[in-house]
Order: sequence, then structure tokens, then C-alpha cells
Amino acid sequence: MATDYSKYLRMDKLPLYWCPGCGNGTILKSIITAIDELGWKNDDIMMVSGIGCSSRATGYVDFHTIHTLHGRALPVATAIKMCHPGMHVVVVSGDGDSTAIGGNHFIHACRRNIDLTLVVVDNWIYGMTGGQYSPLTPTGTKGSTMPRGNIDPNFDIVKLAEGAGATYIARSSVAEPVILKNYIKKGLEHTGISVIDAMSNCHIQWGRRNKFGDPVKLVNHIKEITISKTKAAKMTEEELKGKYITGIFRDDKDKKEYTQAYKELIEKAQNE
Amino acid sequence: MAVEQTPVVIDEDLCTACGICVNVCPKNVLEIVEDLHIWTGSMCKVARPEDCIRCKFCENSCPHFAISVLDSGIEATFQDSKGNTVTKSK
Ligand code: SF4
Ligand code: SF4
Repeated sequence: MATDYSKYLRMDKLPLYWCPGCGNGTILKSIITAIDELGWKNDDIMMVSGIGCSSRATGYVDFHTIHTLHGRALPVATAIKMCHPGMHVVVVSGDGDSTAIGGNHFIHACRRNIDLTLVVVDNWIYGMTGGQYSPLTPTGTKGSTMPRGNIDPNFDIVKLAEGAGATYIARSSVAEPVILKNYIKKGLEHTGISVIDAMSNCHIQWGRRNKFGDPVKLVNHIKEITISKTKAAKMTEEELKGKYITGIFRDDKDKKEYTQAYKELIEKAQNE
Repeated sequence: MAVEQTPVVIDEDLCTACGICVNVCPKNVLEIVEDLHIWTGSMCKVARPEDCIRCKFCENSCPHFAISVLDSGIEATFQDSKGNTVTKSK
């Protein structure tokens, strides 16, 4: 059934401030469509974001929203979830926001397994602040602070979340918006932290410096370098070099959720 | 009752003429047309509405919430690219 986006958007804030063709809009649409399919009420949802292009998403949606400090979306979301365990808390954060400036918060939110849905908009660059490289910028590509190419090895956010103990981890891209929506939907339903690595196109700050200045060209490039888990299983290490594997990497329902553990602790203390 | 609209509608206030929908449409329904009266210098238009199969690839991929596609099964009456009035439900 068709989604009525006006139910979830602050229509007077449109058109979106993002550059023509920016993947942030596609990811925001995937989140909205997933919420629409789940039939959740606007007032039961809290959307939290940090600073960055993608974090402007909170300004457009008609949920409870809060636009926080750079990198600090997860601590604020954690506090909200602890005070309102019944609220669905969704965090939208960029790659620099969540893995560099907020990197510490990221691993600890994963470790605690608190019931949040974290959508990492992974566009390989700090877009809003002027094209500086982030920990997810592919090695060898250019940005404003690395005009001769990035020498840093980059993070694999899926492995990082796995190591830190997250219980739902998925990766998809804007080149397959319906699959992305399905993964986000599963993440929203999951109890415990869900990390969704949503690969996106920044053809302005990353693309123009790397011969991908056109949104269509960059989306097609992302489509080429993302390979599903089943396909990747049949490929050799050599062939998988520089490729990103998509799919659901972990869906663990056994680990205790943090607010639940805290509630049990309170009950135990009260009965003593 | 048939609705009087093309099966795919573009909101020209929101469209930024990025071309992503044109790229994903399997039936070549959409087109970027030059229009120097707007800031983007061009606009996305529904050029061949009669070919639309309502797959919604364009709606799902549009980053600017500019496209809406009718659900399959709803009858729509519209003018096709040759100027004839047609009614289609899918
Ligand atoms: S994808 Fe959306 S914004 Fe881009 S050209 Fe098509 S209708 Fe316009
Ligand atoms: S619904 Fe499918 S066929 Fe129709 S315009 Fe959109 S992409 Fe093309």
C-alpha cells in the first residue's frame, strides 16, 4: 500500500535542504516507510540525531525529535530510553558522527545492548563541515583534508559492532531502498541495540573529489561494490577486495536488554 | 470510479532533477527536461505515463519525496504521450 509521507513529515519544512540526489533522503524515506508498515504512532517514537547532514533528518519528521551535540546522539538516546522504556528510540547519525567523534559512545551502546535503533548514514565523508575524511572513508580516496588520498585504513562498521557486542547488525545501501527498508524494519522490531549500516551517496563532498560528481554515477558505483552475503560466500578473497558485503550479520535475541536488566535490579533492591 | 491523474505524479516543488528516478525506471517513463525558469535548470517530467507498470522503483529511490505512484489496481484516466485519453488499472 502506498505510504502517505505527509503523516510523518513536517510538510512546511520541505523541500529538503540536502543536495539534489543525496542519499540521506532515501534513507529517511526507508525509515518512514518501515515505521508506517509497523503501524507505530508518531507520539511513541523519539528520533535523536547528532550533527551532520544526515542528522538534519530530525528537523523534517513529525515525531518527538532532538538534535544533539556532535557525536553525542547515543548518550542522549540512552538517557531517553532509560527514562521512557516504552518509547521507540531511533538514532540517525552520520559516519563521522557515530564512529569518530562518537566512537566511544558507539561501542558502549553496543556493549550495553540498550534497545535503540541506530541507523548509520555511511557516506564516507564529513559532508556538512566541508569534506574532511572520516574513519569510514575508503583508503586511497580524496577529501578536503587529504587532497593526495587517504592513507588511513578504514573501519568495517559491521565487524566493529560485532566485536562490541551489538545484537542486531545489518548493512544495505541506497541502491536497494526496499531491502534497506526491510532491514530497518527488522531492526526497529528487535529488542536490544540494532545497528544498520546504510551506505549512502555523497556525490558533492566525496564524489566531486573522486570522479563521482553525479548522483546517478555514484549510486551505480555503490550498487557495483555492494555484494549480498549469499553471493559473497561463493567468491574468493581476491574478488571481494574493496567490496562491501550486505545482509543481516547478527540477529541475537538471547542477550539481556539493558533497560530490562535495570528494571530487574530495581525490583530486586525494593524487595530486599 | 477512475481517478483523473497519471499513475505516477511528480511534485515539482520538491523535485531537484537529480535523475535517480530516470535511472531506475525499467520502462523509461520519466525524463529530465530542461527548464531554465527554475533554479535547478531542469525538471523531471512524466514523459510516457502509459508505459508505467507501477513497480514503484522511482518512488522508493527518490531522495526528495517528490514522486508518488498509484497502487496497482486503482483505475486512472490520463492523457498518454500521443494525446489520447486512456484508462488503466496497472
Ligand atoms: S528522483 Fe526525485 S528528485 Fe530526483 S529527479 Fe526524480 S523526482 Fe526529481
Ligand atoms: S512505477 Fe516503475 S514503471 Fe512507473 S515510473 Fe516508476 S519506476 Fe517507472
